[in-house]
Amino acid sequence: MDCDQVTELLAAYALSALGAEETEAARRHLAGCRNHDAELGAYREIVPRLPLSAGDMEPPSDARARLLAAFDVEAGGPVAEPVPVRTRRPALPQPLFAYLAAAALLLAVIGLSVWNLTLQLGGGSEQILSVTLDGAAGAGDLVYSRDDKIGVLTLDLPPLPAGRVYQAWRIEAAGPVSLGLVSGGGVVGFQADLSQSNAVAVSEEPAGGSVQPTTSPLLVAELR
Amino acid sequence: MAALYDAHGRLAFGLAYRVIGDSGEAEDIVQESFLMLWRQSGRLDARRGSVRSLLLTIVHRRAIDALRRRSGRSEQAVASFDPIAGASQDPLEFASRAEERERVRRALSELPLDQRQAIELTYFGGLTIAELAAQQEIPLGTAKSRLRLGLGRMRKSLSGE
Repeated sequence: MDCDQVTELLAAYALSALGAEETEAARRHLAGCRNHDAELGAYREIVPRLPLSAGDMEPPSDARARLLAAFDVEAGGPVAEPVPVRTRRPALPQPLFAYLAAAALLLAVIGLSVWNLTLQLGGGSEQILSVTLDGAAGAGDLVYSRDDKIGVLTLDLPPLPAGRVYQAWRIEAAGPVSLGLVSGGGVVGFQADLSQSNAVAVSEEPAGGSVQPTTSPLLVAELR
Repeated sequence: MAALYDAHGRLAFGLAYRVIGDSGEAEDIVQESFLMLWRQSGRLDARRGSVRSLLLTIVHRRAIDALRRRSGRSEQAVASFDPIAGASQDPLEFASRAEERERVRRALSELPLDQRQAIELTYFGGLTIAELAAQQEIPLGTAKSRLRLGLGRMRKSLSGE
């Protein structure tokens, strides 16, 4: 997808009104092209406000009690089924190592000292993936809803000099795909399908981000 | 959780109901969304408004997915978002929700009808631009430009230009 095509589709992209293939094509272009930053930024100020036009609406009177009851159940821990937990530390699993090497991310392993990975199945049918990243440079947490394909990555990494940013990636068979730039607050939210991703990684990149990682990942977490 | 629900429950329910049009389903969506949000609490800074931004994004996504499943349409791809970046421009930081809601409603209502419909049918109706073009019986290029012009006008209206 070229610049003109992305410009045409940008509003639809911001409204999540593109099909899957177009969304991915636009995302790939946007990861490496800064021509659209101002327009996309403007759209992203507007789209989150659209719910306000729907207005408040009073939920059923007992909805609050039902939510709080569900919350109490959840806060009390797993109810019916034990939560499967998978933990690995500190060595890199061989398949991932091989993958990272293939993806020219070999140097990633140097920065990794501790590696935690916890897979949790949330209550009900919803699947929540919770991954902790630890590395020499810092740490990170990824919480991801498989149902919603929404994740939030929070990082505890040292501040970067001007002109440098942290960028999050999902690592797929075809290579890394950007999940977005990490905000100054150390958070990046994203909506992406991680079902085909082998890992999530964070690297330091020039301001504006890169199409592909240009430095060794500081944090990596295997997802499968 | 109770405080979070009291602060954002009606807005979340209003959004879910607007999309799905069914009170029971809307309640389920809102409840699931709050629980999901709770699971990642501690990772978000409520003071910066990111909780509300993320909550509404989750509610919207779930409601659209439910709507598309119900109508036999495939789930939609979604663009990435940054709840913290959104939060820094959170309208609640500089205006009451009532004031901001009025501004958004006015900005939307002042759009030419075709542009307003295009935005509402994609955002609240979960249509892709291809589906929008088919439903409105317009060329795909027209559907694209309606969204672009509509959001552009809203931007000017909301920024006071």
